[in-house]
Amino acid sequence: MTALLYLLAHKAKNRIKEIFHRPAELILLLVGVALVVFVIFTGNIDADASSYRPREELNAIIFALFTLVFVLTAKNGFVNGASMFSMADVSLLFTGPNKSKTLLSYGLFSQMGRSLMLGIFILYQYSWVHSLYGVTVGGLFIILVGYAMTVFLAQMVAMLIYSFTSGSDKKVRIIKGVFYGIVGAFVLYLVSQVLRASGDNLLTRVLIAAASPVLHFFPVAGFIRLGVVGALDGNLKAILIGLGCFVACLIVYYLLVSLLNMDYYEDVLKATEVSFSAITARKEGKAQEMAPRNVKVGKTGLGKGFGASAIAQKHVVENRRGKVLLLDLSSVIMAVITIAFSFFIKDMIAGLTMSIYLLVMTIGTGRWSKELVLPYVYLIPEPPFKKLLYMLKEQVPALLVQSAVTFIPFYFIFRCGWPAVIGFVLARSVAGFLFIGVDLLLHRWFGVGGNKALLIMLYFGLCTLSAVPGIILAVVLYQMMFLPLSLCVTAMALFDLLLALVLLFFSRNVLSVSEFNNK
Amino acid sequence: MLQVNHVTKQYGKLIANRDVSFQIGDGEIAVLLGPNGAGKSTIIKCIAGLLRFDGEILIDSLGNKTLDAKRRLGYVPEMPAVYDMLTVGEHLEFMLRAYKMEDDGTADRLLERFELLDKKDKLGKELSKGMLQKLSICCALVHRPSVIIFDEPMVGLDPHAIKQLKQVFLELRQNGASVLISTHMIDSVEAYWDKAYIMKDGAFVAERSATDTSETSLEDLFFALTEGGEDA
Repeated sequence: MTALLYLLAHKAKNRIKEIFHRPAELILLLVGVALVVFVIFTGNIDADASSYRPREELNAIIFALFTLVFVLTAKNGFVNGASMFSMADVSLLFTGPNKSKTLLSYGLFSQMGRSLMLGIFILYQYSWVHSLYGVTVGGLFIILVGYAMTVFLAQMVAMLIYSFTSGSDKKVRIIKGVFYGIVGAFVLYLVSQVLRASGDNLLTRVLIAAASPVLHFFPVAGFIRLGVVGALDGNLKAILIGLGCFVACLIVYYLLVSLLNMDYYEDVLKATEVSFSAITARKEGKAQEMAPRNVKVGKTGLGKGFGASAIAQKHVVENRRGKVLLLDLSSVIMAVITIAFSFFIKDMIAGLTMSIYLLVMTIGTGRWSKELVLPYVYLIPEPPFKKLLYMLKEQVPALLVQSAVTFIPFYFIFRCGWPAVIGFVLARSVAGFLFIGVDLLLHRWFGVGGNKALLIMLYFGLCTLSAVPGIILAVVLYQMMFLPLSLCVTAMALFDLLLALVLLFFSRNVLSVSEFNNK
Repeated sequence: MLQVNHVTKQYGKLIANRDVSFQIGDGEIAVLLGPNGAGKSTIIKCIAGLLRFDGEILIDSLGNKTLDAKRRLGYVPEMPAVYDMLTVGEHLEFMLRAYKMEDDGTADRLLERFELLDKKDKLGKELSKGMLQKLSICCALVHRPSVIIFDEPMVGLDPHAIKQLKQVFLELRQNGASVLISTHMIDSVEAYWDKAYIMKDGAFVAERSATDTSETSLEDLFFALTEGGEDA
């Protein structure tokens, strides 16, 4: 145990020392922190408590977020499992004279820290959660801790699922049935409660249903939501139940692994290797491909493209094989969240803002970002700006289709007219290019290397900063100058387009040289 | 011809390459030797135009960042990087299209040579490490560059591929190309280098020409200069 404590302490110490030895990282950290402070400071407008939206809405949002995170993380157990260890842990600790129980404690402790870091994006949400629901900074930290606890337990569940099912298709089918059966049962319950609840409108009925005590029994997300909401409301009993369930889960997990003498080394190995190869691939400049396990090659050959346009044609072939359609699952989920949010809030511009917020998180997963970590696009003898345009070409139809699916329902829900819908589609699509511009600019400044966590923090901060002026413009034109909504959002789209072009202009040479380095 | 003139590459306070100068003439093979962390990969990435640097690098008398220079350059990275969703054949088709070249059969000849022809329809993600390296080499050669840089090209290759690659080195020399090979395996290049550069702490500590009549072997010289040094 002493050696593990030494390892933990020295890893932490060296991490901190490294930040101070690398001025760029230190600056990034300070800028990231400054952006959080900025978001908190600018969003800290004290509104009249009576103008806040019902707290039940926030509780429902927290439940939805935790449930989504839990289900999406835990289901990884059917594929690779999850690992709280690094490849170095596997090579050096697993093979050494260490008790597996001790190593498990070490892994759990390390994972807790990582889970907390994963939720940093929540801090950037202060502005709207404060203005709409009156959540304080302390309250936001409580939500962050709840998020981290959910991620943490979800990873443990993924690891357990993998342990119990690995190597047996029959077991996978059974556990999958149980897993999705539980999720489905709760969804059915929720729907039935919505239908049975009394209320003037659907929103009220959904809120009543989402507050049902039965949902506290939903694995992990249910009791963590109970604890978090309890902490926000100062309800000690709810906090204790939430925390108690969390600790109980930890104890049960620990007992399962240690008392049953589970040999978890092999179970975490695959997930560790997958994660290690992903990290190594990134370091080595190898593109990360979220490829389906079985790829249908289909027709071979690019067939088209000459010079820079070959890049775009290559993307067409890769997307076809990778089953990356114009509208993928994450886009559908984002569209549903946006539509539901707008419907409940009854505010179309708030809905547009939400969809743009969600876009910040997903725009960087496009094929263009994978291109930046491979050498070819830099080596191709074509003007860098031309290469950049062809590299981004695939995003145009994708963003337009995703935005259309998101905002066409607005026509039916809000009767806002087609010109407004077109304005929304344009505004969201252009915002996508705005965020690509931000990402490219960061590549231009910091190259392929750099501290990923800090870069992500900076990326979120800069995206927020770049999107806010356009949104403010739309709000001012609509609510103060009473211009038609379609005109307001189109003005926003034009403003963002200008900003995106400026950012792309500054990044125009990113494919000429980008400090492409494996270090 | 490759000319590297007074190139310095700095990462913050760390000087990865310090005032490095050398040149490789047409039809010459140069080897770059040095312990880990000596700065070999950094100078190679500078030549490939992947890093910013102070100084000048010319490829056939053209600045290495110009499009004409890029057209004449082939680069085999230390770690093979390929596209998971493209087949082996499509990688070469992509390279030819991107470099605006017609396929005159070179692609298939290269694949055959490196025993990849039967894997032509395999996806990048299905290849073993050795095959990835072979494909990476084929990608660097398919557009018939006049300056080719190999960063540890032998790693992961099977004996047949190593033999073929050595043959390729000789053919490239015969055809007037300038070849730079960075390697740890001194004995693997002993037979055919024209120039050798030994690097340590970001700078050249020795240069040798194949025509030199020194009694010390390249390997002995390497160890004499680098042993006792700190591997970074």
